Amino acid sequence: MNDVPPSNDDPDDIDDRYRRAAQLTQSRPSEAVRRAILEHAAKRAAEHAAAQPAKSEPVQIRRRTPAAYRSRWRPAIFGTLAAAALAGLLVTPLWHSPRILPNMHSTQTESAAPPAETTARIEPPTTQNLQPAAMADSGARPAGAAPRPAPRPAPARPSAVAGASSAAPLPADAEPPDVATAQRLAQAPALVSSREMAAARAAPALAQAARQRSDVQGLWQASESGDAIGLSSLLERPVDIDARDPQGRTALMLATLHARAAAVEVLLAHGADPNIPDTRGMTPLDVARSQNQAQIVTALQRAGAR
Amino acid sequence: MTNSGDTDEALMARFARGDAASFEELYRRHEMRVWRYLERNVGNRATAEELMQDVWFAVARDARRYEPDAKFTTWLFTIAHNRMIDSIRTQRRPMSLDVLGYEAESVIEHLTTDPLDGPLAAADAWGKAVALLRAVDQLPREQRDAFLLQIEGDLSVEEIAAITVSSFETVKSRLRYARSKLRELLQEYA
Repeated sequence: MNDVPPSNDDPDDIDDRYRRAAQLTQSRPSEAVRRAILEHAAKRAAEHAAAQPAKSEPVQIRRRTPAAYRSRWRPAIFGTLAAAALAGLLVTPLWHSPRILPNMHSTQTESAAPPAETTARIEPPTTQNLQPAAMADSGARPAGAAPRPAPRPAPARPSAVAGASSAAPLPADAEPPDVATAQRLAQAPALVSSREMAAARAAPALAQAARQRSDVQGLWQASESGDAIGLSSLLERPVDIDARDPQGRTALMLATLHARAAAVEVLLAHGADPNIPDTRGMTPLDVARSQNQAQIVTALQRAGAR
Repeated sequence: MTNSGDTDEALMARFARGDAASFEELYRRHEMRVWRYLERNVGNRATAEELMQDVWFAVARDARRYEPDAKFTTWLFTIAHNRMIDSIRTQRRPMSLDVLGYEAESVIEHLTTDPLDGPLAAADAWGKAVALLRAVDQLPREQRDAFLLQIEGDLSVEEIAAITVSSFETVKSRLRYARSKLRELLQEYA
């Protein structure tokens, strides 16, 4: 294969000769194809014409609503919204507060000197804070001047009862939920639901997968931009050097496509496979040759590219 | 009323509002260019007819979504290119006049010359045209595609690069190689 492309860029007599030859041919699509296309277009035109006014008209809002309902829709909407807001206030704290038993809190409250971490804890509002009547029914004490965790209604999580007395309160710091759950799991397994336990077990694997995905994307970007230093630093971490993008291009292919000779050298030095083709079947060597990148061609061949 | 002096983009806008005559005018303008692009690339008349229908059906269907940011021909040949590539991938066979037993004879039969030029001139023109069409067919697929997009679609290197998802330099290189190879092949035929 000739590695040096021809030097003339401008269209030349070949173009004219092709155009003349094309004019000489009488090959054309059959009449049936032409008719089918034009008939299809006529149908579509009718559809477009029919759709046109609808597009430009302003949207009409329920003109046919019976007059009897007009006076009722406002209270109905406001009532629904109010009910939804109240339900939200009642339910949201159940999701956010840790699952700790009322008897445990009672014990902690009764102790003369609670641990510092317990007093420092910030407890989100619960149904107990909002509904004194319900609190009285459950037999829990009202929240007095001393700060303490507000108990949850007893029936909410009967499975969390066992082992609750040994539970330590959780710090309300900024740790990710999965990490916090993992700590709680280590301290008091019975306080953590099975779903949270599964999430906590999966957390390290998920975090690692996210890191690797981010590293691979960084690898592709550094290869494209020819950032050899960034590339070297990325490759010190365990990253799949031959990972392929949606078009099947490896980092080596991207570096080659963008004529980044230094990046190609770095990737090859770290063991990148020079023979992985993209989805079109092009290998880095094909690309380097088609773009007349002699330095990259040499490097690839040295690394065993075929 | 369709004015033949209207731009392609104006015709598309009118067709999107329901004017069928605008589509007919567009089709008349670009029918042969698209046809030659498809037929030469796939090397098979039946497949080219299927693709031709697909391409123009897509134009008619998507007319309302067409936004004249780019030239109409760029949009049209993007559709044609994508359909052609899909077809070649699906068929998974080499597309060549000689390998396919492509209707080379039918193409040659379709060649016509002006009888007023005399039999020698006609034969000469005929022979050159056949040689050139054979040479185009023998180009590697990507070079042939780029060459036909430029000649039939009247597209710039940048536009071809966007359509074929390639870099500017790659397309430029393909075009250079295509012309160089055509010249070589024509010398062989001469």
